[in-house]
Amino acid sequence: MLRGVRSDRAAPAVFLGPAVCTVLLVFLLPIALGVWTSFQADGSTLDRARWVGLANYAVLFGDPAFAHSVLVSVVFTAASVAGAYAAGLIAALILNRPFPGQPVLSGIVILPWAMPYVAAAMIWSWLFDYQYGLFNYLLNVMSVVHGKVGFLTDPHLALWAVVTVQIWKIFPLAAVLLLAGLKTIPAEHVDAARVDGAGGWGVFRHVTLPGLRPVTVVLVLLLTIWVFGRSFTVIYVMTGGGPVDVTLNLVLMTFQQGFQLFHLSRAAALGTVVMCISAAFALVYLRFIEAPAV
Amino acid sequence: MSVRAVPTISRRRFLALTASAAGAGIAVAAAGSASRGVPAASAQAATVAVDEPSVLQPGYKEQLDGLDQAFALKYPGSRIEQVSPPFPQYHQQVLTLLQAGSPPDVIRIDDPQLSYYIEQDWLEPLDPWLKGAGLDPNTFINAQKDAMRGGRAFAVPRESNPRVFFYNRALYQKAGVGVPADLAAYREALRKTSDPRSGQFGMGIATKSGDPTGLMIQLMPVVLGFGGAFYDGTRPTATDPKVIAALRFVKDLWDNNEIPRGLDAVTINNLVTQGKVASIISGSFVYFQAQKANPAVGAQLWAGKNPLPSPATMRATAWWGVPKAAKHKDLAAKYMLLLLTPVQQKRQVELTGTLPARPGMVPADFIAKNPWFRAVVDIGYGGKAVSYFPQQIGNKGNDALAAIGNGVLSILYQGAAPERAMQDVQTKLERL
Repeated sequence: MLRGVRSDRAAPAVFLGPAVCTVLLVFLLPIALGVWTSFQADGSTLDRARWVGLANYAVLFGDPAFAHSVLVSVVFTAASVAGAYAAGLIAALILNRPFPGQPVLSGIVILPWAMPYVAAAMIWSWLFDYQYGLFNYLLNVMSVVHGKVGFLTDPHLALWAVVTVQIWKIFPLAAVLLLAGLKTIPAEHVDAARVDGAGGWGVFRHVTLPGLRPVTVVLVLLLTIWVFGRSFTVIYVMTGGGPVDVTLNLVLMTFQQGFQLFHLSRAAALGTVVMCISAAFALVYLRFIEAPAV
Repeated sequence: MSVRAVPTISRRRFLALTASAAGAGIAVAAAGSASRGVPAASAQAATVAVDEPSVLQPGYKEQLDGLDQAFALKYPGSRIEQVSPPFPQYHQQVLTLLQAGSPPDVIRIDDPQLSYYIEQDWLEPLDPWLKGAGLDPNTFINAQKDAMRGGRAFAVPRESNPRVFFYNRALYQKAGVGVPADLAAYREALRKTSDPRSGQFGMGIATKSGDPTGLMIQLMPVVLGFGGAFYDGTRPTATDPKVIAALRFVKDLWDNNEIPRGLDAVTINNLVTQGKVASIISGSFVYFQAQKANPAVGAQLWAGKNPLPSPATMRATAWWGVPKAAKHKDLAAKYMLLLLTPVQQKRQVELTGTLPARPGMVPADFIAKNPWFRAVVDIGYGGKAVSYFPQQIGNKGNDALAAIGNGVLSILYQGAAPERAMQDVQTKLERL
């Protein structure tokens, strides 16, 4: 009997062991090494460590470029999440009604999400191009502007150009989740609101939006985590962080410090900072999804 | 009726078996890991991993395939494995592998990486192998000196590309201009050969933001052509009037849409190939790319005397090195020695149109077919060209490149006055 109890205790360890080992090896160990590197001098390796304490963080926080890239990250994330939510909501509201071609339109809406990031960013780069871009051509043909618009070369426009592409890329996720949320709103609530005299806007404001609240919170948190901590490809391909650093967010700055300037330890410190900020959002997200439904 | 016995296994036995399997797996993994850390004996046959992204380009592929075959013939049982990713990911991958202590056996190193890798003590000095083959690195192309420290060679040039003035003869004839002999004539030619509405530009300069290296590679020939430089030895000279004059020249071209805006070097080279750029100061690879990709335009591409005021020009160089942590250092060094043999050096010129490490290796019939290449040879081996990268300040050169690049971009993209922008750059360079 005692032997059986021992086996019962060991069984979870055996079955969970491979998964735990995998997480340790490919997730927690690299994070630990990254954090460790952030306290070392550039060029340090495990067998040639040179401890410098918080020096890399001090250099980082004293660099005006860091504060600037935090600002860029915040603006980029806020604008992208807000834009993706708005576009996703519009798409979801349209797709929530039956009409001819609705399934086809649903598939089309998903396309940006399915397209590889690099391919999408390169196509948009050419659409926005100063010399040969389609947008500049159309704007001139339609006499909206005379001359060329520097979508990616004008420091006042570049950030909004990459935000546009980021929104285009992620809004399908918002659309799918919000559409699922719309399906859960009981039709009786809408009918009751109409009986009470609510028009289209009233139904939307007092029934639809409150009904979408749980989905909205989860969606906004997820998008924020993804956009803040993982927005690299679109900006890297389209502007490389420029012009003159106006699109240099924290993720791209980390890449730049590590692979262009060879300050790997400083890049590790930046990565640690980004991870902490993303982790804070993730904690809020976990708190929310674990909270008992009211 | 017989009932077939179902094989059973006790829980204890199952756990024991699982633990044994896991233990065996860990042991195998550990053994594999341990064997990777031990360098193979020098004479042993092995697969040598070579990380050279140019293998993915036409011409270079043929050259390296031939080199790999020659290696397999000379060292039976051994073979070369080309392991490189495409160029955009290449340097990030190699840096990561070097940092992790598990690099390939032969790596390509470009100007911005060279000093850093040497300073980090990641590269094996190649002198024993060079000496054994009777080669003196001091007789190599002038770029070799960038890879020397304390009289030791830490890498050898895989190729060097001095900059040459190329122009599209058809576009010049169409615009009614001759080959420019001086700056004034060139400025006039730039104006007349530009037609932004049809997407045609007088000159090609990559000005994509976020890529200071790409910007410097295309900008430095102009700065040097005006007699300027961002460094005099280790002393920053960003406010030198000749630097300012060069930047004013570029800014003027930018304002008048005579150079494309915001494009990277690859796209600029493609525009040359498509006949959309009338002139460029670039490496000879631009010429050969056009010859192969668009023979009609390639036939119109000619090299001429640089019309900028100073004869000084720039070179970009790629080296091959053997990491200290490489598994097969001896074979890797022998592979590099094979590249330095006369046969392979001549093949390199013929197939890639780039300068090899050793002088006297450009075939006479190649020069006969491409007379302008004589100027490339003279620049490359005569010590006239300097690197776009300030090797003399070591790894701080990358910070310097970023500071200079951002300063230049502020002139182009934000309309900053060149004097003011370069004063800011000078301050940053002095603080490095």
